[in-house]
Amino acid sequence: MDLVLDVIGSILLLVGCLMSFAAGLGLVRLPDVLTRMHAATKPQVLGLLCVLLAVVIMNRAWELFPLAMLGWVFMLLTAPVNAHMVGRASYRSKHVKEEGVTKDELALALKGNTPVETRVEQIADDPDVQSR
Amino acid sequence: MNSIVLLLAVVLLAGAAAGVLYRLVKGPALLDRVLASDVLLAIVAAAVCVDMIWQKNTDYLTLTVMISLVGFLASVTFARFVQTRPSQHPDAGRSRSEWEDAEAPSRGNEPGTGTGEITIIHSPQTAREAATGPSVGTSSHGQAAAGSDDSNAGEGGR
Repeated sequence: MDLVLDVIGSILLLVGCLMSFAAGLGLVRLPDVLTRMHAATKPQVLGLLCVLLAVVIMNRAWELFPLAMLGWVFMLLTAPVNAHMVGRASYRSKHVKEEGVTKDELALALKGNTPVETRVEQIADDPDVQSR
Repeated sequence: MNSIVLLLAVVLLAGAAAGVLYRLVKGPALLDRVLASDVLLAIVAAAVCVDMIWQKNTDYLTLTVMISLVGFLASVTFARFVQTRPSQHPDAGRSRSEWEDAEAPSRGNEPGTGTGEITIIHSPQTAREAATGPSVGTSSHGQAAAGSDDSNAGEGGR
């Protein structure tokens, strides 16, 4: 049983560190801010989960499992905020390479030419708006 | 076996940190550096966890919780800074509320049209004087407006 737990913890630790290594490799190799963002989120979410579980398992500290999950939930809550703000800033400050984008719906929306199928028809269906 | 795994983990983390530091130094844009520093923080959190396994204690688990809690603030702050930096922003010259409202497609604000025509909103008195003609306006305001030319007649009376 002790050996099984050690093997599971070691595998989790190595997977978490491999996620970090993949992020470092992706930051070096990928060409664009948006594609680097894709690589950068790997150690933040899955890597942190694996490493925290490895700490709990390798130290047999089962009472600290809620604290580890709390830290992972915090990262899960803040990583989308981070990615949203960085991606928004990169698009608005023209850091996105044009040839890497196959479909750019945000450019149409910013010009006011929103496609018909994506337009929100909520206002017309609202009875309060119609009565006014 | 345990020490081999820990050594391999440390080597992987060191390689990751080397790649991230390369991007942090070389990165062409400020956002690349922000992204690299964020990944570096995640790698530091993983390294703290590896150290906890190595030392066989759990003293620093709160530190990783705090890192994951406040680590995004720097990135968000830098992203806001890049957006509002007036020299490099494509909407340079427009006020801040204008380019924030430009996200809404119903407003019809096209990017780059910040310096449009100035629309002067007339007061009711000025509109009535403009409708009745400049001769009525000068007679109602007396001597003070009679000396000036016709275009400034309404302004001189007030």
